[in-house]
Amino acid sequence: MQAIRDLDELTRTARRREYEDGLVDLLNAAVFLVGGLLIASVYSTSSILWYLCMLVSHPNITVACLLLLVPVLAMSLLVSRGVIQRIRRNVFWAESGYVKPLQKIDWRLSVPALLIVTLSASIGFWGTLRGWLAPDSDLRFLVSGLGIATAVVYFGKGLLLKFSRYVAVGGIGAVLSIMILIVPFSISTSWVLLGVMWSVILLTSGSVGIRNTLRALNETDNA
Amino acid sequence: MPDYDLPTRFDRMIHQPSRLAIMALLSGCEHADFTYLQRVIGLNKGSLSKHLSYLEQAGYIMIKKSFKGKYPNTSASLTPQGRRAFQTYRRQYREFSKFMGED
Repeated sequence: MQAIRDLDELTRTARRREYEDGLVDLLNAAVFLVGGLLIASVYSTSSILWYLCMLVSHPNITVACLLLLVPVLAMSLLVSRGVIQRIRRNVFWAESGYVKPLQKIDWRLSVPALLIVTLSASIGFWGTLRGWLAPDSDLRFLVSGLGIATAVVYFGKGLLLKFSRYVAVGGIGAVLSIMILIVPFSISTSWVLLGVMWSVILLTSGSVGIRNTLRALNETDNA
Repeated sequence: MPDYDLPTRFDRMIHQPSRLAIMALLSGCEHADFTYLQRVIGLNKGSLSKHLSYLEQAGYIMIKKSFKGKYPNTSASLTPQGRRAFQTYRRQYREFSKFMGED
């Protein structure tokens, strides 16, 4: 019935608000870039040699940096979320009103994503063990699986919220993540590609969101 | 067997266009402020305040008043009772629309 479809659209309007301005996409782009580069460094011989040299020449500083890495990253994430809220309250949503998004995990998206990562890692592991796949394919399957899982989450969110930008993000992300599997990159390169690729996609999505939000703000000011 | 009495069991507090819109909007977020509700639903300040008061008295929403700088700020959120009531209403309405053949 038209009435219930309109109600669903009202609910979706409130749920979409968190994603329309693109700020969350920019934050996720940074997470992917930093995460991808950090993990890639663990698989790169030259990086490991550099870490070992630093450990020998400056042991205290190196150990402190390694121990503080995770807390600093976690704090950065929290601070970034605070900055996003501030930008929304004072600039983007100052005239149009503030909405606090729902703080709950959507299992319809999380469970398939987890299954995809588990399945791809398992296929890679068993395939490599049995000799069906090349020696370092297991990790490439994991990297590609993470990319595809991320694409599924964005695609699914786009469909559920009728948000075409996320449908596009999910589609493009899925295609590029599958390419990581097909083209025989090294593990380190695969991680870098995953991080860079998703950060570019999300930066683009975030920029579109910010542009649309600023355009709407200008129209309100001129009205 | 169609349940023709179903509409008589619709929650009258929710089954009103403006209040239904408020409940639908709030079901999609943790809380929303007055400005947002007014802008999306399109009610004037007096009507929106009135309907928010009715929903608050029914225990379906919680209203929080604060200040943004020097300006008062009102925000509303669904209570757990309100969420359950809204989910029940949606389910009843979908059932009703199904046997009316309009799904």
